[in-house]
Formats: sequence, structure tokens, C-alpha cells
Amino acid sequence: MHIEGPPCGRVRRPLTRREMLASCANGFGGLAMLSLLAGESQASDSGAEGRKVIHGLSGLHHPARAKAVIFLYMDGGPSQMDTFDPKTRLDRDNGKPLPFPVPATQFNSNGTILKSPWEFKQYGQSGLPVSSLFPEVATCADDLCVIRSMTSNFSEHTNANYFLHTGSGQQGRPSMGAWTTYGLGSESQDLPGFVVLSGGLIPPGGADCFGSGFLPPDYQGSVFRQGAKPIPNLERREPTEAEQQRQLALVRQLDRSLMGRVGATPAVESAIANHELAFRMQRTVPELTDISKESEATKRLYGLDSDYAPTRNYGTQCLLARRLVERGVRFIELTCPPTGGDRWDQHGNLKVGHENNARAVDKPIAGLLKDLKSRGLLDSTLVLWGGEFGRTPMAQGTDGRDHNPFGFTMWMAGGGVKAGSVYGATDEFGYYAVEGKMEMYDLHATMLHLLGVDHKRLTVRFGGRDMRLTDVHGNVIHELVG
Amino acid sequence: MKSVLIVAFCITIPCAMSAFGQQAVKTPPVATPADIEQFEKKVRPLLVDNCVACHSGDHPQGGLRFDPIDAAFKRGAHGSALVPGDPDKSLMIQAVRRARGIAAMPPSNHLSPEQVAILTDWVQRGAPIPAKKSATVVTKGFPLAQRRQFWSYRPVLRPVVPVVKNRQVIFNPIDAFLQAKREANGLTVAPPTDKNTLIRRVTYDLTGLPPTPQEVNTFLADKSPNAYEKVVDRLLASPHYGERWARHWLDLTRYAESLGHEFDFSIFNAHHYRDYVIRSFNADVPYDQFIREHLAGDLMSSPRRDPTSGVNESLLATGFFFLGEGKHSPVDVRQEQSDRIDNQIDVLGKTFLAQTLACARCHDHKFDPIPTRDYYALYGILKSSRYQQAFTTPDSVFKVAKEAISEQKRSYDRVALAARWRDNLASLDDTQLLKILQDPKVNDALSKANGTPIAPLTKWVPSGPAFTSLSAPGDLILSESMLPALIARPAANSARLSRAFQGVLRSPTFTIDKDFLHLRLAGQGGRISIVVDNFMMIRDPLYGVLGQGVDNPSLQWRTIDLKTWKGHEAYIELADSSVPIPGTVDYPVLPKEAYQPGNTWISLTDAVLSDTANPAARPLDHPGAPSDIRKILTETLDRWAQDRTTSMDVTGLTWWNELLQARLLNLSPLTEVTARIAKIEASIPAPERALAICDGTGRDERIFVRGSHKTPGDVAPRLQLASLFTEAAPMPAIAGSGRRELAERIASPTHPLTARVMVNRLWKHHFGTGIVASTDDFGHMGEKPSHPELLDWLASEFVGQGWSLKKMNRLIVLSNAYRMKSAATDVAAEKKDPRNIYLHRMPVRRLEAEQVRDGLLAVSGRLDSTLYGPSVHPYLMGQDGRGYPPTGSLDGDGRRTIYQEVRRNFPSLFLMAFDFPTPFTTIGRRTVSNVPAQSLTLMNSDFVWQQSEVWADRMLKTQKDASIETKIRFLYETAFARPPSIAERDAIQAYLNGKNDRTTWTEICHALYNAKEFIYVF
Repeated sequence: MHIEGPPCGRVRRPLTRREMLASCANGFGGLAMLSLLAGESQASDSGAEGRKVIHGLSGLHHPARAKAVIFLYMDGGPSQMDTFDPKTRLDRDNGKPLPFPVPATQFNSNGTILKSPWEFKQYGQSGLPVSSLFPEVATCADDLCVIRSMTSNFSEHTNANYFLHTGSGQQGRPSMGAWTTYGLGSESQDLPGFVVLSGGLIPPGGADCFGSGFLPPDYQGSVFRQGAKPIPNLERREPTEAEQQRQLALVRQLDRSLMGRVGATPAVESAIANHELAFRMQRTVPELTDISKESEATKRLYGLDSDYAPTRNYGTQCLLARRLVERGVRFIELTCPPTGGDRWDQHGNLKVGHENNARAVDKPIAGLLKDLKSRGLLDSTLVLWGGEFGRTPMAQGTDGRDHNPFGFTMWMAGGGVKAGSVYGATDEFGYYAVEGKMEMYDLHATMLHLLGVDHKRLTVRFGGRDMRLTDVHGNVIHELVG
Repeated sequence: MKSVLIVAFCITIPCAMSAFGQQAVKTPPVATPADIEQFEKKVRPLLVDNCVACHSGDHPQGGLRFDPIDAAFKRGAHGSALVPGDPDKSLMIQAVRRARGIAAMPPSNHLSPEQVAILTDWVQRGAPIPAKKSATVVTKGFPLAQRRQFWSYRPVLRPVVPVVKNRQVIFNPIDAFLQAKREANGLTVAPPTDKNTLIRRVTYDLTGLPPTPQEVNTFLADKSPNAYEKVVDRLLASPHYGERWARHWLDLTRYAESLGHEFDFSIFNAHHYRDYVIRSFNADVPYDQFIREHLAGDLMSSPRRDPTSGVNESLLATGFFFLGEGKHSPVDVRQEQSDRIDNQIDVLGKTFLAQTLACARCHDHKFDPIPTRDYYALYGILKSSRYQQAFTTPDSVFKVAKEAISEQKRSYDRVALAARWRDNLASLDDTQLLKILQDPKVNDALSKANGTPIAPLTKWVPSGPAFTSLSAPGDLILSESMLPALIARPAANSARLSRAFQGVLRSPTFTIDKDFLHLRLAGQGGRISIVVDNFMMIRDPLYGVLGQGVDNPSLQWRTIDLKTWKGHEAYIELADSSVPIPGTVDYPVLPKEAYQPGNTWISLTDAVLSDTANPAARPLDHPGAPSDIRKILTETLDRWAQDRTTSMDVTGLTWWNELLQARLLNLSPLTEVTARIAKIEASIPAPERALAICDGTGRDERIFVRGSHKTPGDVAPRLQLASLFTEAAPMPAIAGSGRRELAERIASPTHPLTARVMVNRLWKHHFGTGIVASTDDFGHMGEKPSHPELLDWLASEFVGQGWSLKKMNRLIVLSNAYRMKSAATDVAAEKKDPRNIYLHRMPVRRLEAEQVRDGLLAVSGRLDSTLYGPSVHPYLMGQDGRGYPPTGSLDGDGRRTIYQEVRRNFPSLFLMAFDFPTPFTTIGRRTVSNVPAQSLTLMNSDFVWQQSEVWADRMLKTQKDASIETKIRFLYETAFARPPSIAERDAIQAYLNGKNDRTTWTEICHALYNAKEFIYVF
């Protein structure tokens, strides 16, 4: 048994099966690696050739600042000049045309400059300006590292979603959660390494935002729905566990008999182990989603007592995110809850739409940051907030903003980032990134860097190329690192 | 920039001449890599976006060209646009600064201060530009010949079958090649497997289904030496063979039935392509023919036709071009085209040649003999081709009706009719006559078009039974529930013979070089589309104006503002029915009758481009004195009676038509003729439609420097392709896209890759791993063949056997290698060949997603083995989002998985769990994973439990009076093609614990579905 490393990858000593089982403890990922190493048809069958696995934290390229990522995905594209990037020029020139040519936009129905309907105030020691949309997150200002110079290559939701998630605008590439889990494995025995906590809205582009692309499906995001049955087929049909056990005992007997007939077959052995894991998951997942034992104070911290249903919805997801981090899950993404509008995509109705969206997530996000911090988890957990693009400084209609990939805001917290800081800047209208322009590739490179991974060395051979999350681009932005 | 620039240059003559008139023209300095990057990133996009539309080509505005860029340094009669190092003296900088005394550029939009600064800075730095042809053609020094030394680019030579020591294991030459390698590596060969295992293996392999107990028993009972061959021949003849092998092919052509993206719109009629592939495999269409049909099935002089329906089979293959993703409202339509074509090139290169052509999008291939010019030569071929919902019903179906209608139209006495009309005219008073002829719509019908025609109507290309010829002046339109109409000027008219005939008419490709398109149209329920850069998803928010309904029975001008797309290529599509264009109709797919109404029509007389918004040159004069009018009318009618009217009679015919439309003329016997035509029309069937490609105007593409369409480089002539070994071949004039020539060259016995790639795919499906493991990459980055001689022998055999896939599959499964045991019993062999590269035994394989689901259905007895047809909705659970389709029934109506609809954004979770691939590009080998979702699905899903019940019920019904032992045996033989061992039987009996009820048997069936033996073949 041996693993072939691609030309630019590190070649590690091959692990024995026993070592794999004993040490990697990767949950899904580990078993997949097991089957890869097993030497039966799997290894050669895979769509990805010459796979390289950075195995566990001991195999990091450099010391990690973060062990896990929570990505708070703001589907639809929140407006930067209405949240974390104040622009006084918009107040001054409200109603005037933009003094430069407007690039093509999604609707090309471009009006005049629209000042922000919300006021900004400075918060914390850092004096970070935050708009009145996020009064709760504002209380965590000193933990935030605000990037005001994000850019995307696409003006359309789906391309931009794929780009944000996978580093490519087209369908079929592995999501950053898949790359992360592929590189680092998961520390959880019984849970997948990449979990998507669905708030109810699947973003444009569908499941492929969380796909594993040409990586094995083990690394794809497992979408946990809300409620008692977060993943399909998790609930046994037998009335009691004992009855299910009895049936599984029969299956085990038949499988043993099969092994006697056909001899030791690693692939089949792995499938048997996998069956046992699935059985255990029937218990671990409900235990994960059962938040009844959390204290009332904790629940209030996340806004679970809110009178606004989407806040309770998102609060529960944020709380689950913390519980997943505690259980060693590597990458957790939260999608937005429905608020009756159209995600953060306010082509019209900006005032109501953004207020509802912010109301749904503000308290839960602040709760998550504070809870992680108080439990000592924030330092090792990278929290990432943002959408696929931002919005235009000029109005679409009278009360809307169109898509803007040329300059927008995302923020990070925890996980070794420079807390209470601002990086980069847009022009005085908030349209184009003009200072510290940051590409999506740079975001991905920096994220992997914080996780202890060199983005140029996390590769997999596909279609004749050594593919990377960052393709042939990407720079680690060291100014973001604390 | 338009003619104003000439003025600008004239105004500045004195200053320009005095300043540097006598100096030698400065040339740009040698550019550093940083300069080039700056130029490509900042400067060239600016020039392309703002200047090139007018300042390019043979007759650029003001004599100034920015394309190619070095032309901009040529000093014009009035001075230099660019003076390297001196922005203040560069007329172009002055123009963009909008300096006094010089016409501002660009005329319609200001450059931003930043943009002006970019240009100024560039000129200041000496206006460095890349050396000419830096990223073009086969780059100088590109090691084409050297790279072609790689094994896969060398010709296929038929190797001699090796002589081996162990002759016993040689069933056919395949075994000799394998055995030679085994012997060279000191490996043993596994013994033959048992008959039960073998029949399960080969049945799943060839049909995707498990063998029935009867099939197993027949095989066991057959002691003849060719018993196994009989099984193989039976399986190859089964229609299920096509279903199984078509699915492998659909993985290559990223088969899906929706476009993904935000709304996951449907790909209409995609399933015809799926059915085509199944039928082709079942009919064993020679693979070279199959390739030709895929690439140019629409262009075949004698296409394959379905023997019963007469449907053009070859045409259906071309649907594969359009199975990729699609975006409904791209901000940059040219970018969307390049992404779409990139996917087509990627799929085409990997599927047929196992070449990563798409790697040459931004630069010459880093490893393989593929210059970037290849990519853009293919781009030219594909952009010269068009999407269509083709008419597949053969013309012969319409022939009888066409002839009968033509005969009816000749059946009346035109001279007598004209005489009656003359009397009708005589009875009209002058006031009445003038009133009718001064109606504004007469103006629309008679006015002269104000612009340049796109192309004569004779150059437009029809598709379908309508539009097959143009209407001529004097033609009468007679069709059910339409008032007879007289044609006054040459027109494309779908109702020329009858509006029951459907059709589409497409213009040649033109460049949008003016602001407005004016069209003179009439119709009812018709549609006109302006297809810019092949973009077919015409809808709001950005593209709605490009697709318009036509619902005006008399000719009217219509003006479409195309300023947004100036400089882009486009064609016009005229359709007389409401066949939906992609992205216009949300899920579900419309029923056929909803988009083939058969009573719509459309007519067009003019399509002109113009810079003014007014379609007509000028208002018409007063029609004239009544006596003159009557004179014209009478003379025209005389000529019409003798069938001698021409384009010169447009006025008279238009007037007569107005009288006709005003119901002032005697309609007998036209009413009666129309009634008889209506009877014929009722017999005309709605045509069948299918997703397909068709040829447009052949146009070469330019190389996109660094992959961006904003930086066009040199022209890449279509068909000069290093990947086809024709990079230096002189190209004859190609009339159309060049796809026919492309197809011939790929489907050639001399191309070193075509046959090798396909036999390797067959091998992979039989043995789990290809001789070349990287089935879709035979380049330098792919894997080397484990048995190069065997691969070449198979490739030459394949061609020699007439490219027959069935013969090759037969040969492979009849080899000794295929019949070996899979158990790893020889420790030494396992140690020497742990990955079983030399096939010292048969590999164990997990079933693919479709085999698992089809196997569940076959074993339970629920399988509905109906072939073909529209797809069944997949059972969806727990998904949500835009474009969410209706969910199908839990068991998918029992149909085989290949008939389940594949929706990009809403994949079946069951299939996904078992590694069904995302349909984004060619997947020649699927991942084989082992994830808990598989176990959870088998353990807890409603579907598996449901099938367990169905299976238990079936057993209890068919084995009603049988003993427990027989019942267990029945279940085992159904699921695993073998009887249970005593231990297995005892285990099940122990589980039964004396019970014999439906619930307990259901649990046992469920346990058998969960046994690993169910999802593995050994």
C-alpha cells in the first residue's frame, strides 16, 4: 500500500490501516481515507488522482491559529455602506448622479446616489463604526477584523456564490469547507467534518455551493436542516433500538459469512465499518441537536427568547455551530433564515429587507461570538461573515441597491485575526475597492493560512492539473493576522 | 468614437504640424513584463470597451485603428494619436481629457478621471505594448514535435500477440497480453470463478441489473462448452444493455435536464438525447458514426432515420452540446458565451480525445501539444453553431399535405376572380378608396426601410416545414380562419402554404454596428428573437427587449434599440410558434401541445440596421389622384391575373390587399378553397421537436489573450488544429461552422487518440480501472498505460471490427481475465501487485448508484422495464430553493434510474450518496466512496423499506406454500444469484424464530438489502 503524492505535494510515509483507524479519527474523512488506502478498486476508481492528505494537525504546513471555521453566509449580498463601511459622501450627494460611468449591473436600472438610511456610531476601544442595523454585533466591535476591500469576479448570484464558496464561478468545484476537511480531516468521530446548518434558504447554485467537486463525496457539506430530523434517513424505522440491533446483528452475521466466502476484502470491510458508524450517528446527531440542556442564560444570549421567529431560528443555528465546534467539526457554514423578503438581495425595499435580515442574525451572531469567547473557543475558531458581493451606492428604483462585486465588506473574528481592526477601503462612494483590494482567492488563502495550511500546497490532481482552492491565484494577507 | 474624431484631427492640424510635424514617428519602447501586465490589465480593456468598436477594421473612423494596437502608432495625415512619452502631444489623450478645441472622445460617455489617468500614465511611460503576436498562433518555440513524442500521440500500431508460457489461460489475445505482463512480473493468475458469481458479474456489468433466478438456473444447467457465450450474447441483445451503457456515456456528456444557476430552468427535450444514446448502443451504431452524429449529426447528407417513425436519429445526438449550465441574465454576455463554449470545448476534448483542451484557454497547454490557438479555432467552430429546438419529423410526413394544398391553391380561376375584383373596384367611390389607401398601416407596408439590410431574405436559413420558400409578390395566403391576404413584396411567411406548418427562420450572423434594428413584421402568436453572442436565454431583467411576440396581422415596423450590444455578433430568429426558449418557462416542462399550437404564423419583409430611431425613410406621399390610383390598380390586377406581378407592383398589390382586408372584394371561390385547405390542414401533425445544434455563419474567433475576451489577439482559423494534426494544413473555404470537417477528423481511424480512448473506457467499465487509469486525460499529466501493447491491440481491433462496441465488449467479457475469481488468495501476488495493476485476479467492485437503485427494484419485482420517454421526477426530500421541482413518487414509478430526471440544483440524494456525479464536465470514472449516507440510506430510507415490503409480498405470493427453506433460498437467489449457505440459512431461520409473517419477512428482506453482498459484485 502506498500513496502517491502529486509533484508539488509532500509525500508522507504510508500509514497502515491500523494507524489510520487509530490516529486519524476523522469521522467521515478518516473512513474515506481508509477505503482509499485499502487498495481495492476505490483507490484507482476515484475521480481525483494521486490524492494527498495532510493528516491531522501534526501534518500542518505551519502552526495553526484556528482549528475550525464558522462561516456566517449572508446570502444575497448585504450592503457595505449600510453596515460596516460608512460613506459620508453619499449623505452629501444623495439624489445626485454618480460622477463616473456606472459599469453594467444585473438590472441596469441605475438611479441616483442613495445615502444610507441607517446611522453609524463608533464602538469599543477600537472605535469601529457599525450601523444601527447591527447594534448587538457592534458590542463585539473589538473582536472584529473588518475587510472593506473585498471584490468578486461576478455580478450574478450563482457565479458569485460558487466563486465565494469554491474559488470558481462555475459549478462542480469543491467548496472551501470540503477543501478544509480534505486537508485537515475532522476531529469528530461520529460527525461529518463539514456541516451546513441550513437556516431554510438554500442559496442560488444549490447544493453545489457545498459540494465536494472532484474531491470524494466524504468531504461534501452535510446539510443539517432545522428541527428534529436534521439529516435524511437518520431515524430508524424499527420501533425500538433493540429491534434494530437484532436486525443489524443478522446483517453482521451475513456479512461475516460473506467474508468467509470471498476472503478478506478491504473495501467490504470498510463498508461494514461504515455501517457501524451510521448506526452510531443515529444517536450522536440527535444528541447534538438537543439543546434542552443549555442554560437559559445561554439561550437568551443567542436570542432564543426573541419574539421574532427568524431570530430564534438563526439563534438555534448559531448555538448548534458552537456545539459542533466543541465536537471537533472542522468547517461549519450557516445559511440565512427566511425573513419574508428576498435574502439580503434588496433590489427594492432596502429599508425593510435589510432591517429584517439584520434583526434575524444580529443577536445570534453577537451571542455566538460572546459564547465562544467565554468558553475559550474564539481564539481557535475563525468566524467569517459576509455575502457573495455587496451593493451599489446608487439606487435601483428609489429604495433598492443592485449587485456590486467591485468593493464590499466581509469581516472575520477569532481564529488569530487582528481584532478590532479595519483592512482596506472603498472609494468615497463605496463602489470600488481602492485600497488593499482583496480578491476572493486572497480570502481563501488567508483562511487556509490561519488553519495552518499553505494554499499553494493543498492540491489534488484533476483533469490533468493540480487543482487548488485558489486556482493559480491568491495571496495571504498578513495584515489580517493578529 | 465616430466621425467627430476626423473633425478633431482637422481642427488640430496646425498645432500638430507645428509641434511635431517634421519629427520622425516615435515608436513604443520594448515592453517589460510589468509593462505588459499593466497594458493587458488596465489599458487594453479600456481601449476595447471604449474605442475599438469604431476604431478598428479596414475603414476605421478617422483613419485611426486601435486593433491591432501597433496600428495606433501610425501617424495619420493630421498627426499622431499617440506620442510615446508625451501625453500632452498625444491627440488621443487630449480627446479623452475633453480638452478645448478638440472633439471629445468617446463621444457618448466620459471616461472617469481614473481611466484618463491610466491612459495618460501609459503614454507617459512610453506607451509600451506587448511585442506583436506575443500570445498568438503556435507560439514560437512551442515544442509541438517534441510533445508529440509522448506515447498517446504516436500512431496506433497493431502489436504482435505475445507468446506466453501458460497457454491454458489464453482464451483470446487479451489474455496473452495480460499473461505476458504477469509472467514478466512473476505473478500467478487467479482460477476461474464459479458460475453463480460469473453470471451476476456479467449481468450487472452488461445490463446494470441482477440476473433472475431463472437465468441463473438456465446457466447452471447448461453444460455445453459455450454456455457462457450464450449468456453474453443474450445480454448484449437485451434492450437493458443500451440502458446500462448509455448511462456511462451520459457521464461523459454531463447529461442534465436543467440549466442550474439561480432558477434551474429546464433544458427542453433533453430526454430525446438520452433515448438516442440508449438506442444507439442497442443498435450498436459504429462508434465513428456515433462521433460524427454527436459533432455534426445535423449536417449529414444521409442521416440515420428511425425505421418506423422516420425521425432523424443523427440529429438528436447533437443535443449534447447544450447540456451544460446556463445563466439567465449575465451582466457580460460575451463572458457568458466564452464560459459556455469553454464547457463545450472541455467536454468535447475529454470525451472524444481524453485531452484537456480547456487548459489552453489562457495560454498554450503547459504539457500537451495543444497551443492556445487550438482552443480558439474550436471556439470559432462552436460560436458559428447555434442552439435549436430542431424539427425532427421527416419532411415526408408533410409532403402529401403540402402537395394537396398547393393543388388547391391552383384550383381556382384567377382570371375570373380578377374580373370580379375589377367590378368591385368600379363600384367603390373615390372618397372611400382614398380613405382606405391613406390608412397609416399602408404607410408601414409601403415605406422604404431606413437602413442597411442585414442580409437578403434568400440568405436566411429555414428549419421545419414552414419557411421552405419565400412568398413572392402576388402570392395569395389561404389558410383556415385567416382572411385571404395578397403578398405585395418578397417576404418570409410561415403561412405561405398554410399556417398549420411550423418553422423557424434564422438570419446570417451580423455585427451590430448601428444603434437600431428595424423589422417589418406581421404575424399572430409569432416570436422574434435577437440572439446576441449565441445567448438564447432571452428574458428580463437585461435581455427582455431581445425577444418579442408578434401579434399584428398586417405588416408593421418594429424598432429594437441595440445600443447596449453594439460591436457584438448576433442573428435574428423568426419563429411562428411559442416554442419556449431556455429560461423563459419555469418548471415544469410544458406539455407538447402547449408549445406547438399549429395555428400561429409570422412574416417578415425587412430587417435593417440604422443609426436613427425612425424605421421608415420618410412618410409616404399622398397616394395620388383617384384616376391615377385606379390606373395603377387596374394594371396591377391585369398582370396578377396572368401571374406576372413582380416587385415593381408593390404599390398596386399593397392597395389591392388593403381592399381585400377591408372586405370590399368578392371572395368567392377563395372561401371555398380555404375551406378545402382547412380540411387538409386538420390532418397535419404537430412536428416533433428535439434539442439540437445547427450551423450558423462561419466566423473565426480571435485568440483571447490570457483568456479574456476583452483582450482579443490574432485570428485562430477554424480547423487548423494541432490536436487534429492539421495545424499547418491549408484550409479550403469552409461554408458553415466546420463541425462536419471536425467530426471527420476526430472519427478517423488514423487519429491516435480516438480509438484508444474509447476502448480504454470499455475496459474501465469491465475491470474498474482503465488500462490508462485517467480515462479522460491521455496527456502528460494523465497516467501511463499499464498495458500499452494491449491498449493498441484493442484500439486496432476496434477499428478493424468496424468500430463495433458490442464486439469489443463481447471480446473483453469472453476473456479468461474477466472470468477469474476476485478473492485475494495468493499472498505473494498480493504483495507483488497490491493494486492489482496486472490483473492477477478480478477486482471486487461496488455497484454504481443506478445499479443499486435498479437492483433494489429488480429484486423486489417492482421494476417497470418500459424503455424511453420523458423523464420521471426524482423523489426529493428536504431540499428547497428557487426552481424547486415537483417531487416524484417514492419508487420513481418503478422506472430504471436512467429515466429519472437529472436536475442540476436538485439532485437525487439517494443517487448522490452512491457517487452519482455532478453533471458539470466529462466524468469518465466516478468516485467510489464509502460514506455513512450510504449506510443510512439503506438502513433507514423509506424507499428501501418500501421495496423490502414489496419484495416480501412478492415472495409470500409466489412462494406461498413453499417451505421456510425454499423461501429463504428464493430470496437469496433473487438478490445474490446463489443459494444460501447452511450457516446463512440457519441465521435467517434463527431470526424468524418460528414466525412466518409479513413483518418479519420484510425485516429479512431489509437485512438482505443491507448485507454488503447486495452492493458489491465479486
